[in-house]
Amino acid sequence: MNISRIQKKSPPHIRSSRTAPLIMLDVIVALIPLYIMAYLYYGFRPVFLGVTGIVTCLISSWICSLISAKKINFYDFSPIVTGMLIPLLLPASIDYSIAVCACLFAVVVVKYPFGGSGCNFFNPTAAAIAFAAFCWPSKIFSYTQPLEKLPLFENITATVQSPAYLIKDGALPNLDTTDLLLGNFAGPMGAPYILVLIACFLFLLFRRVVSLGSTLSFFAAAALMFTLFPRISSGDIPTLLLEFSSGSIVLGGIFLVNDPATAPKRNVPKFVYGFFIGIVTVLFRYYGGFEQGVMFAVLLANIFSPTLDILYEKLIYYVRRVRIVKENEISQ
Amino acid sequence: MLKKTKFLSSAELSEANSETASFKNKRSTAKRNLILRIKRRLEVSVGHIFFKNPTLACGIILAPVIAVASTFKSGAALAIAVIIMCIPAIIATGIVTHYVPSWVCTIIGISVSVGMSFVAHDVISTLSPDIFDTLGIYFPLIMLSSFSTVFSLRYRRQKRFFVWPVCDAICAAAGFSAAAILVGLSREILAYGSVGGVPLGISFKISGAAAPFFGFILVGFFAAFIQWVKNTVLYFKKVYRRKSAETREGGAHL
Amino acid sequence: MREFLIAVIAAVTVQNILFTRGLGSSRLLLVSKRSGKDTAIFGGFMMLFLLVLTSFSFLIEDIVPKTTLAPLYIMRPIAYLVTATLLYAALCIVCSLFFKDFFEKKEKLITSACFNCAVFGTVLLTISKYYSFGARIGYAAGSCVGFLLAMFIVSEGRRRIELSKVPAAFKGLPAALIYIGLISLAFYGLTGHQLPA
Repeated sequence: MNISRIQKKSPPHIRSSRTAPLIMLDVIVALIPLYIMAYLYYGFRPVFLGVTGIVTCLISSWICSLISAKKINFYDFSPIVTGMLIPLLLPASIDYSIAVCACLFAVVVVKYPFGGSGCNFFNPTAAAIAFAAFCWPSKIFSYTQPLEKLPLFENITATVQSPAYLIKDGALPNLDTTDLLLGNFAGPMGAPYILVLIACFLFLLFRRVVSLGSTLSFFAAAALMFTLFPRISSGDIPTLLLEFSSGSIVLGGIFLVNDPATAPKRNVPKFVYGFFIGIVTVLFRYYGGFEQGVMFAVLLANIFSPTLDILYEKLIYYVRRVRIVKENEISQ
Repeated sequence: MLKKTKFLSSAELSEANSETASFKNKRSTAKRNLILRIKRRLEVSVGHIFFKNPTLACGIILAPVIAVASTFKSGAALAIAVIIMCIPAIIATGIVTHYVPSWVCTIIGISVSVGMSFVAHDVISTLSPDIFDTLGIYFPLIMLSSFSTVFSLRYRRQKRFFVWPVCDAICAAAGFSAAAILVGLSREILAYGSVGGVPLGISFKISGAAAPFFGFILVGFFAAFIQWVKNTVLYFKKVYRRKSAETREGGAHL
Repeated sequence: MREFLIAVIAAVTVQNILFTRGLGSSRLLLVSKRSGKDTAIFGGFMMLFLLVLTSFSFLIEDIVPKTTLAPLYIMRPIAYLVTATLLYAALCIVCSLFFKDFFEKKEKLITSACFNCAVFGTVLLTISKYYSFGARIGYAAGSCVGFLLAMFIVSEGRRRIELSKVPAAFKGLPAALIYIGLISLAFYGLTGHQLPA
């Protein structure tokens, strides 16, 4: 063998056109329509909240990189994704200080102690929203009516309850189907727009950023739970539409369940992971202390995602071994 | 009667001088070794205050710090409780560990803690009677600290010398007190914007800082700080040793 | 039976002694580094001590309030500690006489399983929350199961932490504590904004 022909190259040796910065860019592009909808409903305040989130996440991740003696990677767009996603799960009337605190928690507590971008064990957005929900529950779950332009920098006292709260309390929200589909009701800044979210999901699916298995299994599990154990027994609007449009279940199912760092890597475990999150989300919504549960369910499922991969690999090896033994026996 | 002075020959003199010299050398080396051993053992004891902090580096008595050290007062109460209950327990362990099996040693350590818990309760209730509502079930749980078990293993491997258990006990209690007070102070400032009940005028408060999950995260960050300081000190020591070795080699070449 | 099941489910989920109260965190970090067999032995002994102490709770609750040596706040844990110490001493004597090899290797585990904040904390909480025998036993058993589940989760987490690119300052105890803290945050989704009583 001619040794001079062997070329030394550093890993990865299997390369494709899909890189981490491109995947993050696709997610950023998918989040922009949600900010446009939030601007149409609430004015410039959601945009400024998004910019605040992005700046906070970027600066804190750069500082953390410098402290851990690493070079700053300017092509790492994951802080931008985190900074854009966190305000979308908060009300448009939220104080800037709370948004900054949530973003700092996501980067400094959830990402960097475990190794930074791509190495985090928990979804930073889910953990940040869970933290904010626990620390400031009255501010996180109080909203303003849509189509009212909000002041840019003042602190706002929000008093409107979302349909998720009303359903948990046993009441029926006074909304029609058009309002529900277009997101014309009080809720998180980026979560109520079902049609826009479905369009974003189709875009990400086309770009192969999200997994169909995990997202569909999540929605299927949630739909199964809502159908088998409905909270709303009367009214013209179907239960499923009301339950899915209230809260951030659709936004969570598209963006939180498909986080590449924390989700399982293989297809069958992804399916099981999405199914588990769907069931636990509904349980949190029904019996938990807050009106929303997707962020807590995602955190719990993140604990088991590598275990699912390992168990699935063991299962595959066992099935292959049994098949090989059977083939050997037949050939003999 | 006058003593006869014995005059030694030069050879005998030089022989006697060399024996005295070697004896003097041996005595000074032994003295130097003893001082070095004492210094190293003291470093181990004093290390319990920072680098081997029982809570932040070794994970001893974590539950009370994480769950109830959410104010400066409760942190200080935990510190007083540990000082009163654990110092005698460690000293008793140190004395008794060479004479009894280790499981008996554990029982003796816990019994001493139980006895001192009455004193601790009286002292803390004199200073602040309402603090026990905050401390709840965590005050009695300090009796179960694993100080006795951990230290008894160390003393079994060493010679019997009661001074070291006293040093270790004082330093370990000081280390825990510093950790509990620091955690309590930080959480009170973040959650209530006050220190010892005195408001600081901070309007932004994080109410979740009083919850146990924040205690876990905060203790984790303090532990990481201690580890970072330790790694930095070790790194600079290594650099200094390498430079002094290079200087010595360079001097030898010259 | 219904009370027993409700107490078990509550102890494993909503009132998990580690994630909602931090009880037993020192022992958990100590034992989670060991093998599965050691964890099983630890769990077995912990369940034994919990069930025995909970069974004796009715007798102790009859006797302790009648003593006037010290406040009930101190006397009650001491009474349980004395009971546990007697059981521990009996167990050590039996093991050192009949199972010498096992006792020499696993003495530390038995000590950790007995003198454990999780065990005594659970017993003290059971007394204040539940009054029937079935509920108390259910809460004790559920707490032990919840603690072992937490130990499984934390040991998996520590394995992941060791294999990943954790910064040097966070290796070991700091990353493990932050990991437990984030899981604890997830469990607080069940309780809502309530600090543990």
